[in-house]
Amino acid sequence: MKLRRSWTVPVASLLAVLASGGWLLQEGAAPPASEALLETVVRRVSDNFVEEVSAGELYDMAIDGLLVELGDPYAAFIRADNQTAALLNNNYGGVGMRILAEEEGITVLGIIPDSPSSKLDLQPGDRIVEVDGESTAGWSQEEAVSSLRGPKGEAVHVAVAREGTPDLIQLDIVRDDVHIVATQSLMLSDDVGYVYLQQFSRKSTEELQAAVNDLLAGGARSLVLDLRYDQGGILREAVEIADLFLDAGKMVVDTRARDPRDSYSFTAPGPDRYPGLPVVVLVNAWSASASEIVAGALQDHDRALVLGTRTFGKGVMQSVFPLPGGNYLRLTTGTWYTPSGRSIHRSRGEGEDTFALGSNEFNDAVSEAVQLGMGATDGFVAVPDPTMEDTVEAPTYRTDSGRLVYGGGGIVPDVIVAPDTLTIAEQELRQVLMDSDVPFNDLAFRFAVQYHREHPDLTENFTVTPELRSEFLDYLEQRTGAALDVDLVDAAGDLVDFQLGRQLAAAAFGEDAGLRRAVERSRQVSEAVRLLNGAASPEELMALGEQTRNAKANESIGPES
Amino acid sequence: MKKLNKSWVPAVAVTVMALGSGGWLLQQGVAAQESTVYRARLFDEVQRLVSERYVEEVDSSNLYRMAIDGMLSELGDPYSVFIGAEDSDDLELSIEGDYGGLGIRIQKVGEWITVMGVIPNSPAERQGLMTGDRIVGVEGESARGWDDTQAVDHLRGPKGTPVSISIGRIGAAEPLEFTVVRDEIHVETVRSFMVDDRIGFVDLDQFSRDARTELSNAIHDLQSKGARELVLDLRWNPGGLLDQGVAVSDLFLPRGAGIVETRSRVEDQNFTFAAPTGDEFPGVPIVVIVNPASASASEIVAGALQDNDRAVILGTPTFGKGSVQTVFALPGGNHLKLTTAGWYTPSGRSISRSSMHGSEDDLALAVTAQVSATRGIVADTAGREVFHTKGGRVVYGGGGITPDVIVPDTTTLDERQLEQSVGRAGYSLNQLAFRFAVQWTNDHPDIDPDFTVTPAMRDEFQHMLSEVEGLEIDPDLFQRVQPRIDRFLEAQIANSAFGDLEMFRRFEAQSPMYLEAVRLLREATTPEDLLRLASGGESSSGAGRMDGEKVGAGTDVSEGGN
Repeated sequence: MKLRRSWTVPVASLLAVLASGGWLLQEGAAPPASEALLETVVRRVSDNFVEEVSAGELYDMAIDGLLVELGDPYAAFIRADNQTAALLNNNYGGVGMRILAEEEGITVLGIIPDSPSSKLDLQPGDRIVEVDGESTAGWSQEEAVSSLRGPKGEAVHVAVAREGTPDLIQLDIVRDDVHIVATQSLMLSDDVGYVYLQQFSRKSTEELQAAVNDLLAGGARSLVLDLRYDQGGILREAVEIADLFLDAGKMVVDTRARDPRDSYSFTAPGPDRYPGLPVVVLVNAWSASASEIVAGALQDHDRALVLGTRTFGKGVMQSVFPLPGGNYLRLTTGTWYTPSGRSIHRSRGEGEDTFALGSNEFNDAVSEAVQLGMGATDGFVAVPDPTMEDTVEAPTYRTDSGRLVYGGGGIVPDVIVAPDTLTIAEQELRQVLMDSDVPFNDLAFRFAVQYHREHPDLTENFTVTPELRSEFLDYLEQRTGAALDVDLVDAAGDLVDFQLGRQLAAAAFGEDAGLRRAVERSRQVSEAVRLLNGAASPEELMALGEQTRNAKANESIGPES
Repeated sequence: MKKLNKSWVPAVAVTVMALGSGGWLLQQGVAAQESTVYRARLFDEVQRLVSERYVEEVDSSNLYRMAIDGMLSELGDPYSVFIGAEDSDDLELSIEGDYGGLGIRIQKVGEWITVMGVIPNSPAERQGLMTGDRIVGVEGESARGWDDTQAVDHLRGPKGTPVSISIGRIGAAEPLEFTVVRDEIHVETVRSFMVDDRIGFVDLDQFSRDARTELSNAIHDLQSKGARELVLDLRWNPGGLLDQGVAVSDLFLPRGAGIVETRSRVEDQNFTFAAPTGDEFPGVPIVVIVNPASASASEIVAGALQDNDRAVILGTPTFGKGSVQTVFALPGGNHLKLTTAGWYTPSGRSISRSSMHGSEDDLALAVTAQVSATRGIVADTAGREVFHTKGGRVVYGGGGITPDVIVPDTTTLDERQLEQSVGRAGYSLNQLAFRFAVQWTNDHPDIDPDFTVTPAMRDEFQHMLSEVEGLEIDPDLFQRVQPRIDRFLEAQIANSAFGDLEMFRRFEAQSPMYLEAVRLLREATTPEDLLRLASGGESSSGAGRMDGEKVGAGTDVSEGGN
């Protein structure tokens, strides 16, 4: 290499002709940028740019470019020809299958209840080898998914191969709305119920209420409401879910915007459906938006104890504006505030990790968490959590009963409990899997489906033996061509066994069985149960929470690092 | 791409009317949706919604400015940018070069902007500024933590104006105060020396206004010292003025030989340049050395010499900037810098990577990279368009200029690890060696011009390192990387004691590319001979071939060095 010399002369780019014969360097204040200036620039570019680009295309770019420069990570111009637009128009439907794209074709991992697929002869383990006449061999996951989705009411033709059946099964699946139930629940002990909400989608309130009612009927006298990894969703559902636990008239959320059309305030319409039921809400860095609205409202009204780690900090609302031609503009229009007046928005500047919901980074991070089986149902840290406990400069507020709460960036839990951290070996293994793009979770489930078919005598309380683990690893290597370092896998054995056990339990005994394994392992859940066991009422729970908080001072319950 | 909408002018008028009347020109059908008017109106709607409904208030002028910047960004060409009136001064300076400076080469070392060298016959030299001086303040303002750009902004200014500087100098307890009057700084862009009694080495830093003249003078000077063969070093040369790229090529080519052609969509912007004057050094075998930080005009020269079979190109594939920008004046004192043409070598190649565009950041990275970790360069010629030189040799389009002889600029894993270790403390190995050298030459004022690196120097360097905050280097690693450390120590001591040229000469003498270029020239007596050797005549192993044979280990093609 050559030692660099720093110059006081700037690096000049390759300049040729100066067009329009001379400088128009004017003294004094320059007139502001304007529509006319934009037009001039558009004309210059379309006339002179080295590649052909039309003025129309440039206006399209001006729209996209403006939104980028604006710095609103949630702003988007949704074009009419785009799938998102179709979603917003509610024209698109799906088939209702959980699939995995593999070299030989699309493997069916699961069938969603009450979906188009559930009414047909389809089972987990089937392989879709053709879609509308085209071979599915070698398709990417995206291609597979988008081939099956399409306009509602229209059929997609698939050819399915099944072990033991000589001929291909030919099916027409008529696409429709596919509703995925967002809740899962189980009893953690004789009297502690647990319900996990994946997102705030349509009917989430109904489903949550049904789940809680079931738990109460089964003997639950307290509740863990798990909102970890719940990115949010429909605002109305958030309000209605908060309403389940709040007395009528209590403020839930208040939004403020520059235009009154974008401002609204919601109070709980109905009574507390579960008066006297102690509730712990679990949150983490990936709980966002609607999750934060619910946690914030329940916290401010002393209705639930919030436990876990500091949340994401999405305290802004977007509005979606329809535009001519079937286009839409989504734009951040307001900030929302909890009942005590907190904004919990964390502004993420340029260069900061912009985990804008729906952004690629966020989706990657969450899908990474999910891929490795680190869904909302266990406490493993999927990504480093930089948001942990810095409340020194956060503005303070008071709940209805006077407890201290913080604004300024995410909901700070009343009781901070760090998630279980991965050991170094486990972190490395996770990194290796991510780097090699291995869909660990899906592959484990796939293996599980097959394994269960071969071992019908498996009991629900099975343990993962070394033989089972090694059979799975062989399978993994076969399917992905990725040879995992034997020593690394040994060192991270605990993690592998856990993930495998979970997927196998889910495949063999249903989602609940898988959920149970994950939940029982989580430190955050155990701490929640401990607190609930010590409280006979919501008031006692809050008091216990305060005690715990004061005892810890600034310490968090964490592993030795 | 759609055809340029020829009915633009009336369309603009229509747009204006439509906007004025506040209504849509409702047109049905897909064609309507593609019309300029429609899309302009859609933009207008979006702009209005943002203005009225966005959570924060943004004034109209800012919105349009964002739209313009954003649009140019979406265009995907980092060289096409809007330059607001507030930045016009800089623009003028960068083109005319009519600024006043002090005559120092600076770089940020740790927290402080440090003088790396003083330019001869400059105000700085006259006032007594020295290599190693730290700039602690300018015009009363502390310079702590400044980066290069900030320093340049504060130091440069109109010719004839004074600037007061506080300097921290080794051995001086208090800062020293200087007042320096800015002047036109003539920056030497050429460095040259004799390798042995037959081979001359000349390095060109960039294609500034006097590049050709200086280069020509330097080579003639080398010839008078006996040089009959030449190494022309264009590594780390990011380009400059197009006409100088042509003029430098002209130095080595026969009259009438093709040099470069620019093609643009605008008819009267197409130019073809051929050598106007003729080869000033006929019969002199030439090796041109290039690397990923050789860009633009450097690639014009390399391409012209390669296609005319005039020189052997050696090194690693170049940057790949085959575009030309034009600056347009806009109302309000604003300007638009726009890529308006691509340029093509004599055989018709565009050497741009992927498209006309490259990345300004890539270039910046390349130029500032302290370690060029181009481990194992594969000349990836598969799928690239094939062209032919005048003599029928195969050359490739796209992907930068692919050298005829590829010599990887390899660093070992250990060396990279060392850079990483020092990097964590905020330094580069070069900077640390510099720091050491300044101290050493201060303590040992009578260094022998033929000095070599001694154990005493190494020990003291290691000692100095252990005192640097946050720096911890594994002693075994240090041992293993000794040759590289020695190289830097030698170069920086030469710099402090004997100046820039000596530093350069000593450093280069250990560079694999330099060594291979010299080796080839020693075996060849004529330009034709040289070409034959390089094409795999009797050349021994170690050099790559033009058919893209892989050299070295690994499969990374690392552009820009990092």
